[in-house]
Amino acid sequence: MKILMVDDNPADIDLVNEGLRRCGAKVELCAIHDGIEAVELLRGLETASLVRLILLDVNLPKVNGQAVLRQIKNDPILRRVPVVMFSTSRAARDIRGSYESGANSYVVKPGGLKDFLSAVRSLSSYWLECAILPAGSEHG
Amino acid sequence: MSGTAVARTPAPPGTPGEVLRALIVEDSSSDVELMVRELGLGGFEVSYNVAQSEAEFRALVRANSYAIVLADFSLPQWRGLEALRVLAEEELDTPLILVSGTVGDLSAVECIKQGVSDYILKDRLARLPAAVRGALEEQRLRQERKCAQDDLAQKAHELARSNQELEQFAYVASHDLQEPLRMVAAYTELLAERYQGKLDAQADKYIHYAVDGARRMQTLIQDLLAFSRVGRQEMELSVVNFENVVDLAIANLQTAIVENKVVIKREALPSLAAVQSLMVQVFQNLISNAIKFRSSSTPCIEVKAEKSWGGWMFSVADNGIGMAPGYCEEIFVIFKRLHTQQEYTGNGIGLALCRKIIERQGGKIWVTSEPGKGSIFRFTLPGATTG
Repeated sequence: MKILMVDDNPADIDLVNEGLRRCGAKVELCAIHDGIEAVELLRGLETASLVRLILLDVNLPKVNGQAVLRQIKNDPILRRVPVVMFSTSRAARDIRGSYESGANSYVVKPGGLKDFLSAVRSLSSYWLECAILPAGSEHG
Repeated sequence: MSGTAVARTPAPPGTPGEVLRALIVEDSSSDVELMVRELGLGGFEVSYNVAQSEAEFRALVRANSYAIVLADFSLPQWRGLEALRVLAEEELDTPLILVSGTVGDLSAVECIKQGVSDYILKDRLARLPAAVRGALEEQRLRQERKCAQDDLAQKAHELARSNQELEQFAYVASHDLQEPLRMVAAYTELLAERYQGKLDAQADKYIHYAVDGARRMQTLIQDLLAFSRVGRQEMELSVVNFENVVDLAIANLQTAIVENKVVIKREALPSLAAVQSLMVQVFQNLISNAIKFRSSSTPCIEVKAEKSWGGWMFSVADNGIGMAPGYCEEIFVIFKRLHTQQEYTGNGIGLALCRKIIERQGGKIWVTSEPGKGSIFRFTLPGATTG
């Protein structure tokens, strides 16, 4: 079981790892720094079938998060993977645009350590344990 | 027909040796001569052209620059008053004096209303030089006024642009500062969690300073962002029930209210056109200030509203430490603080934000206070009660 995190900030990737470690989630965090790479990786079917959640930043180098999101949601197989936008931006246009492009949720990265770790715990417990994906999604 | 009448008396004051360029609309050459003669007697050296039709007139004003137009009220081909229209079409500000044998079908007052500088009867031609002087002076004043107005408009435009740039700068700066700062805050907190008490007392203190500094800066940036957002965003007014607004503000401050056993007294509040989220912010800032600057006695806050001229006046009164009247204006200036960070925490944005919110909605905010006797913050909002 994997979470794919697309984020160009290694410090945030470490914080998410720390959060997952603390809540004991049995999941592997797979981090990618830019949007093009993310879509390429997901297109390899085998990888996509193992990814249970995508955490996608909005501001990414090369291709921005919303463009990556549209590519994922326009793909008949990849679209089944839940995508949570995970970004510093509180701008209304980023939030609205993400939902319009098919985001399953939009979470603003909290400023404080405790809040950040709580957000990671809540995200992983909901999307990995509570959310029931439609039949067939596990294997594309 | 053109010519120059030689001055017989010195040039008028203010125009030494200057030749008065005149365009005369007249079909009688003897009347032209009479006018020029009178001007000469009045101290003007005149250089002039004569036009008898609209076409001639238009051609002349396009080709030359005139200080004054003297027009006969009625010519066989067209009326002197029409020259006004041509001047306007040619975007010329040249003053025009009507000179007429008789009072025509339009009264002198009517002509002046239409933009004629003066109206002179031919049998009172001795008044012409004074009328010309008057018209030239009036034009000079008009041009000065226009210059001043243009200048003012230009300055206002520049100010608006520079304000807008400043707002944009503040927004971008604070927005882009948030990201690296979030890293500093999160990782100093992580350091604190992991190494507090494991190094030495000095290290603990340093870590505490770093964590505290990063937290304060995060609050500062968020408040600055809110401040700059209020300046930029459109005020989308809707009918707001101020009972709800105060309920929400109080709910947001619940912890502080319970901790400090704050007593809040309220009177009935109206519904008015406003921006709800911003008004919650205003009440929240005012109430939280009243709690922060409490005296040793139980904090008591009174929220009221009364009808005032053209709208409503709200007040938030407290029994806190108050302040010297001399500070009552200063505290609304951004970053202005009356206390050290050790005495009272804060960044000096709260009241500046309140002022900006109120002013953006067409109101005013002020405070009356005395040390030891509490403060009363009042603000107005325009508009009638709705529901």
